[in-house]
Amino acid sequence: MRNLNQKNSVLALLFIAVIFIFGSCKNDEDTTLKPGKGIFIVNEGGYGKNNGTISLFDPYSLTVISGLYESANNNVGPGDIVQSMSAFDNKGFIVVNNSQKIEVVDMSTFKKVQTISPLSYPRYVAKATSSEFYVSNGNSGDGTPGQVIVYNSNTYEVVKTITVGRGPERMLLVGNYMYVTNSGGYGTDNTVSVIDVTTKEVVKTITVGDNPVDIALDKDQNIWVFCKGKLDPNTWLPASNSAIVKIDSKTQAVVKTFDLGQQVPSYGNNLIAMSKDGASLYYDNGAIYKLSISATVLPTEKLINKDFYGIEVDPKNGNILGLESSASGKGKVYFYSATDGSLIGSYTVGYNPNSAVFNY
Amino acid sequence: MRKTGLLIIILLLTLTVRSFAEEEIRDTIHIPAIEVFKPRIAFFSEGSKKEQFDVHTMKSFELNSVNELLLKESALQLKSYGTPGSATTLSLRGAGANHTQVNWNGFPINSATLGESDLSFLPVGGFGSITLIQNASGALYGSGTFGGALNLENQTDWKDTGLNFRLSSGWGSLNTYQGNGIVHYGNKKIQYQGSFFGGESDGNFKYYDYYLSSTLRRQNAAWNNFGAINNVYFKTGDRSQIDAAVWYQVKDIKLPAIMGSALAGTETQKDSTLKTFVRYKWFGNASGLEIKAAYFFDYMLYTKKETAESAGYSIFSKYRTDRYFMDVDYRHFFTQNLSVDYGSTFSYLTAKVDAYKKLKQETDFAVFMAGKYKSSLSMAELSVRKEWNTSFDSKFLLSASGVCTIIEDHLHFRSSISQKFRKPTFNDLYWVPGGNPDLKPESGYSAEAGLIVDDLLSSKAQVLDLDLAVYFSDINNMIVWRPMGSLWTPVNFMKVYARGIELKTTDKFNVGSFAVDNLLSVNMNRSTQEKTKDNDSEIVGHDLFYMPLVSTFLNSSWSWKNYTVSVSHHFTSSRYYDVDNKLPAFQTVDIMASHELKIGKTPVGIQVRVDNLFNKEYELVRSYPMPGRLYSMKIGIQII
Repeated sequence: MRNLNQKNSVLALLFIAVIFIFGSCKNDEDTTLKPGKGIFIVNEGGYGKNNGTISLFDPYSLTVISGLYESANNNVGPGDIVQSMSAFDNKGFIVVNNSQKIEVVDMSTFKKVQTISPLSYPRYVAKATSSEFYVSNGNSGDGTPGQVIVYNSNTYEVVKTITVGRGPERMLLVGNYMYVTNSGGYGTDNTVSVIDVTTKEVVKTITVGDNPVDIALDKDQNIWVFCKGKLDPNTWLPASNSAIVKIDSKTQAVVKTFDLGQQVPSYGNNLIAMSKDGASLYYDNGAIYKLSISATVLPTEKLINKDFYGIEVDPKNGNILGLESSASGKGKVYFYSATDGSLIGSYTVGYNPNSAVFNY
Repeated sequence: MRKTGLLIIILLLTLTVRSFAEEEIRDTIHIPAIEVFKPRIAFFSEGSKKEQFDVHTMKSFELNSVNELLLKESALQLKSYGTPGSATTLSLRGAGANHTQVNWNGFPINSATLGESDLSFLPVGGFGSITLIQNASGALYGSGTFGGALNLENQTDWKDTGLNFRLSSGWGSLNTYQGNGIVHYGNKKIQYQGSFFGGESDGNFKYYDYYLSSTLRRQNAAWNNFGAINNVYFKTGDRSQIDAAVWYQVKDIKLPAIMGSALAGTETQKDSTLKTFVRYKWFGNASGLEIKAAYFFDYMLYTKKETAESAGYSIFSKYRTDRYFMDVDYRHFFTQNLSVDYGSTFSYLTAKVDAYKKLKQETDFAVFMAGKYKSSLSMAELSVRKEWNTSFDSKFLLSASGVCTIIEDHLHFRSSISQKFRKPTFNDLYWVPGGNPDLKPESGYSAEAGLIVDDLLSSKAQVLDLDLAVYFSDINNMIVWRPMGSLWTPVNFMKVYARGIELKTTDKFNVGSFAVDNLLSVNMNRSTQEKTKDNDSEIVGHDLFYMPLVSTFLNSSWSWKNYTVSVSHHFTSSRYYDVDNKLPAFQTVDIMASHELKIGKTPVGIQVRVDNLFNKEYELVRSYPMPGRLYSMKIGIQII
């Protein structure tokens, strides 16, 4: 009997030891950055200076790796005004607005695999189907509408060009529908174009607020659109307030509009972000506020008392990221806790960081 | 306190001088007419470093614009967007392009909207003299001289009578064709000189695009430039003269896209100008009067399309400015050595610019007084100015300079100190959105000290001259466009120090039957942001963008009989274009060969040039490549 107890003890100890060993192995895997994974900060650069870059934030070592694109591509940068980046199918689509092209990189190595050009004024890329992606293009400076260009994901050939509103910006895929915000470009617009990705036709045009620039999806499949407001063409003074518009994706109709009371003071457009649980919308109106998706009025209390060029939410841990641009030097990224809005840390990145891409 | 003190000084100066003068018998004063007659900025230029291009150099560049002359024949800092037709601006002594005042016959021609002057719009063949005054006095010149001034003048030689006609024509790489005709007719009473010029080019030079990893030809880069400058001079009496001038010019240029861009550019720019000028000069035994007036009309149209196929324009922006000037200067010589200038300038400016939304106007009035004492061994100048303007009043601006001889005919010491200011441009004040009508003018001072060595070796066989200058400028409230919330707006943002050393030496000698002429110019400069409105630690102490630490120019010319071969070398050190990144240092070599001959009785000159002989890649403005190797040839014929 004693022998069995001893044997049991040894087995138990062995068992515990094994758990510890495997347990610690698992921890090692979680503390180093895998190639192509992490938080990618999109830095626009200065107009005409060809100094747009992508930085990589390593959440484990809490360091920023700069010039990711240059390091992998013969010390040559992506180009002038890096407007956005999208990552899917292990590829990164870097939209270089003023160089009129999109650089496609392999996410694991960041080496360039394809250049998509020419595009007159490309803004964003969104995955539409397993074989197609969409590019929003056009500044509508002469009043003509912009386009959503459909590309084949394998051959990078243009499949179709769809006419939408003026200055098409961000796109959001909900089920089989791509919602495209028509921001106005150099002018003004107040619509969201809805494209059926199976037919590649615009099936509906939803009227929202002036100059819709940002879009997000909540847990109930409602679409939230941030409208910046328009400017008087003669005085360039604000002619309408910023607004947040809630659209029901089942009916494709507006269900609620929140007037922000002023035009937001930020110079940026990436000013709304959905919380990790999809139940709250963060928005920047001179400071960061938290709006419950079921709310009927805007909150009065500030969550984070600071204005940003762009805001994001980390889908892994719900942290709020604030991207701050500096007029003369490099920008910064600030991390805040979603529970109470307290600052976790801040790090210097590139010139005019406007957004982040989370690739885990 | 300072104001009153100053007024007293000036008053005393005048009073003591008057009492001194009373003891002299007026009849014995005889001032050379040329001194009494000299325009103000030329008369008061001895205390500053002055550089003038000689007749040979002017002739060599008679088909080009001033940007090419300065790029090829000096170590000065120019920013150019590519071809010779591209907008090019000049920075002097570590200050910005809007701190160089460019004057035509004494009136500033800088753009009222931008504050800078485009040197590609100034034809070398249209002017009698082109002079650079570093550290030009704020009291004498008014606004915008922290760096200095570039003075374009036309004069006439009353001894030159009869009819002359010179025609020159040039061809070069990139389908470049240029021509210039100069007509001169004169007698003892009336002189006329007309310069008619034109040029066009495809501007499609080859360059290596390191973003697209390929050698490409510049697209959408063609330009053409035509105009005429006509000058008339009337001798209205033994002691008086009237001159008048009309300058009309039009330039059309297509603007190529930045490097790395996938599309050919779609931007165009059209500039046109009509400048008119009239001047009356009179001189007596011991005094002179100059009254001049001018009207400048300037127009610019900038367009951009989203793509070359677009039906409409994304941007269609018009700028028009009308400027009226008047200037009066009375000079009185109290003694042979001492003179005082009393004067006043007036200007009225209107701007009709799409982006200002409404017509904008500015009225400016200034009074000044400047005294000069000159003897065989020394020279001293003291000047004071007060200016009133629609948007600001300047405080009293004072400047003082002096030259003294240490070793007669060989070594001189020069020094000057001058308070300066620069008024905000119309774009700064009225641009919608963002223009800030509450801007204050930039203000500060510049100081310089220099050693001038003439004929160091005291030898006829080898003439070695040297000019060594040390300078310092303090510029306060420098205007910078910054984002304020969702708009960019100009603010009086920072304090800048610019300091440096300039060395220029010329060496002329003979080697056998070759006459050799060498010139070396070395400029060292450091311009830094000393303080900013928001104490941004990332930029305080940082160098200003596009200011190299070192730039050099070396030229060696060898002449034998009527043949000349000249080799030039330029070096510019690296320059920041953002907080971390720099454009690399570069050097270029140019070669020129020329020959003067006579075909019958007609003098003919032939010149060939190879610019950027080693085809080096470089940029003066980030993302805009400069041309590689270019060939050109010119023939000039003195027909009559």
